[in-house]
Amino acid sequence: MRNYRPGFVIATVILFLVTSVLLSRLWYLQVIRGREFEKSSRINHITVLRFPAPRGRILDRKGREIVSNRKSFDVYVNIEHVRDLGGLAAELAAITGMEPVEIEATVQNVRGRGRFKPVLITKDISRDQLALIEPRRSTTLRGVEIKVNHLRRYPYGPLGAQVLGYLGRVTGRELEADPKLRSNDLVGKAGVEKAFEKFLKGVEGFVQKPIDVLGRQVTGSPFTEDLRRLPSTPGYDLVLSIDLDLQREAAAALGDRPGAVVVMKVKTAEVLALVSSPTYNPQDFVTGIDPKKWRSLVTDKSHPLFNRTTQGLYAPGSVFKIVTAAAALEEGIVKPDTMHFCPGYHIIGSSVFMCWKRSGHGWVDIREALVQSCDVFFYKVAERLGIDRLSVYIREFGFGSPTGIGIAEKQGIAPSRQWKMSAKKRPWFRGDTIVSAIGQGYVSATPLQVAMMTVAVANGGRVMKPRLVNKIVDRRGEVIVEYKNRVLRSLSVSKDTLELIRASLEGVVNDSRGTGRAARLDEVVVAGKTGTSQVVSNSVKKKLPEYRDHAWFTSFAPSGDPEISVTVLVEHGGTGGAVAGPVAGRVIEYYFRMKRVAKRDSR
Amino acid sequence: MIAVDRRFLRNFDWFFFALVIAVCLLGLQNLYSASVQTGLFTFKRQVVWFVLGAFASFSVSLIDYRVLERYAHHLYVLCMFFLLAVLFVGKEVAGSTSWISIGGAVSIQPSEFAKIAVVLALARFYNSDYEGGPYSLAELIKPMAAVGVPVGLILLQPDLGTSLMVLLISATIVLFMGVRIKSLLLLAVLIAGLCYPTWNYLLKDYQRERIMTFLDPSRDPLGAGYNAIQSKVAVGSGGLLGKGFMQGSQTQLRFIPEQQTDFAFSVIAEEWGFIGAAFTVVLYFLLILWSLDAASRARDKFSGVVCIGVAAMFFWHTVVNVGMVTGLLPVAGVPLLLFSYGGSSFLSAMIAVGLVLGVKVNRFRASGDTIEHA
Repeated sequence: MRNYRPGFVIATVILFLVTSVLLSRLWYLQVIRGREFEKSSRINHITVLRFPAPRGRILDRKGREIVSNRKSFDVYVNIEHVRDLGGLAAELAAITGMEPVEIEATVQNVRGRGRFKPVLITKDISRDQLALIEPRRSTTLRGVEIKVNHLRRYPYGPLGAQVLGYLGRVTGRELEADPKLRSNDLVGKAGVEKAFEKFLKGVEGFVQKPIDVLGRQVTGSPFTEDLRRLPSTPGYDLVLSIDLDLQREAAAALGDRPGAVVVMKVKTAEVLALVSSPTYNPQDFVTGIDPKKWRSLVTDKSHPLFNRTTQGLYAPGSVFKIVTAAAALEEGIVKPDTMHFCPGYHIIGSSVFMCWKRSGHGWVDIREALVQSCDVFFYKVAERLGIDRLSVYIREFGFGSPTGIGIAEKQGIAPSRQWKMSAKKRPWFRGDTIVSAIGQGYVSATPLQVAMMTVAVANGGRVMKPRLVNKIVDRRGEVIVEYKNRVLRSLSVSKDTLELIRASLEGVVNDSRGTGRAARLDEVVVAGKTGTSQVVSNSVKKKLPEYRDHAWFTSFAPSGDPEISVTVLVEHGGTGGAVAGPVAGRVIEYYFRMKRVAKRDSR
Repeated sequence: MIAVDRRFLRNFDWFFFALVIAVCLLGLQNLYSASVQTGLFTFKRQVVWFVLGAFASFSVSLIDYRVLERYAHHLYVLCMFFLLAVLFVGKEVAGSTSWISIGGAVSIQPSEFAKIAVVLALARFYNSDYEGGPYSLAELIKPMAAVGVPVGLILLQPDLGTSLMVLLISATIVLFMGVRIKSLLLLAVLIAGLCYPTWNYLLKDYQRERIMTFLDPSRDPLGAGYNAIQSKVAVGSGGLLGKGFMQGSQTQLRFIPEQQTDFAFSVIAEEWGFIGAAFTVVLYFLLILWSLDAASRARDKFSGVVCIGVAAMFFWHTVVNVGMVTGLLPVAGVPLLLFSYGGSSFLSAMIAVGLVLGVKVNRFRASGDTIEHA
């Protein structure tokens, strides 16, 4: 390696230079600034105090707070400063109503590794308890620390709980996905709290505090060079499309019957109310839910946590005749004046399909068939139409695919030959087409999907994307995101067909023989369709409540120039017209009364 | 091939060996102080590693480097296999999958040994080339590939610090052995040109974030930046003479999270002051200088390159680690060799020491059957 001499010279020079740089740096830090650092090490160890960001609020369309935050005072114990743990535990237990043993165990459990860190004893103590603790922190309760956190507050209690969702402790998988999360963080677990988590969350703040060797905080430190602070940034506020008044009215109209109400603005597909019953109290989740309560919510047969509007799948029943009617008219199977005779039953091969009206409807055209909800008419139509043509329209109306509302939803089943082959491994039978035509059999849909179908009809054939959130704003009201109306597609259904269906639906509510007369209003013309979907076949006794039919009613108003659409489902409610119709009527009536009041007030 | 005779003992570089042992003992007393609060667990383990390491170093020095040269590629392939394996069966610690667990009690970090394998592979490449440098880029494709594979595999763990070390050590060797000026310029342009698309298209957001934090720790003041701040206070507060053995408040109160591993140097700086810290730096300086000296006396290119590689390894580890601890350089997960706690890094450093010792010892064998190039 002798011929590499210049290389060795250069390498040695570099080594010398770099070593001198390191030595000079040590000299600078230790000798020149040594005294200063020495002082700072004595009184200037740094501790980082984090303060959580208040989560964004959830507001209704008029800016009213549906979910806001309140301060919570959490009790911690820092073992370093505790002289007599037994005494402290006894005193703290007397104030908080806990067991002294429990407090002692909590503190001692973490003694090994994180013993410099305060240990959480209990969350969200009352102001009275706080008033008892605070003055004693410098005497008998030395080592007790109070930290302020933000908790969710629900001024309207259970109203709209399934839409809002709730918070829960972050899971391992969520932690992995987002490195900024910490193991005790609360994150949205359902509803918009989950869907808009990243906007609602905010950014945690921190301050680096000098502390002395014993961990006591130092004030007026001379060494603050490297101290940093970052205020927390509150999360963004969500402005929902929900109207609180309407939501409350819709919930009241449904009462305590299990079911769902979807109220939409027709032109924009904004969701004005989304009611799922029974509901639960999100307040129970605020400090992390008690396991016993959680179990009872999850195992409750009526599934209160479940959002029936988007996650409940039901046979749509006769409201589905809207789709069949559109398909039949568009495909030329029936003309507006085509008549069919309903004797009360229809025979195909060896099967008998009954009409709901056993005595039969006699001769009916398509308008009358919708108005009186004649099953036989649609059986006959379906026989000629066939499933292949029908299923195209089913999908076009939005069945079998998610609506895109943004919160958790089910997509339901839009039956077709291929679907049955792949899902059931069996060929499609003619009888399947017959029952599909009246929304029974394999068809299943969420109340929201039925609402979207109704909106499409009311909107001149435009299938829209439902919108639950109008905009996202920051604390100063600056708009961060604004959601616009979105037309997904136009139905391949002619104006004439839509007009005929609209007129028929108007008849459902307003004709003397209409099945939806219970929803009739004097002040506004309502159009709608009833549905009574079977849970089990006719042969089973219908007396048992869990076998009773689901009651549907889907509607829009005013019929001539639709503004809102209301879809109601009452689980095991009985007949759609009698049970679900009045609920929709009450909501529509309330909407127009509210509108008149607003108009009068603005004058 | 391994034979201890009088010539061996006469040629054995006792000074170099003593230097290394001195650094190790300094490191051990340091670790004792840094782990006394946590029950000396790491100290006890490191004592075992020290004994194993000293033995390994001694054994390696006995190996005839012609054997090493013959098996350099085998060792390289074996190392690459382990680097690959660690990605699948490795255990994750602090976000990086760098360790292979052996029976639960001991974990090895293959990337530490990869440094030596790469040095040996490069040494063999240069030794088998009779024309000598300076080299053009085309001629350097083979060694560049040999370096690129482990660097890439270690980046996948991801362990930015160790892959940077492999890159720096290799680059030092390649530069030392000569690269044509034109090629060097071309390479510089190429690297600069590749940076843009890599940064903008290839890297994912979190990777970009990680690199930015690496370059500017204040982006993450609670993580990497926190260590940097605490480390500076610890080093500075040591003053000229230090606070005394086991008397460093920053150390004893465990204000520096990685004081046993990457930030071990801050402990000696705090407890033994400038005197202790400077003494340690000077020991490393002598260690590197001796390795360079061994390289310059080497009779063939293989052993020469090996010694340069070992010198580069100690040089870069010392510079990057001490630079980090004293706040001159960004925080990178690079241990101070022989000083920081960790079996794999310690063992690989001792093997490296053994290689340099071996070159000196083996000189008597070289005469006669190696060709000296003029």
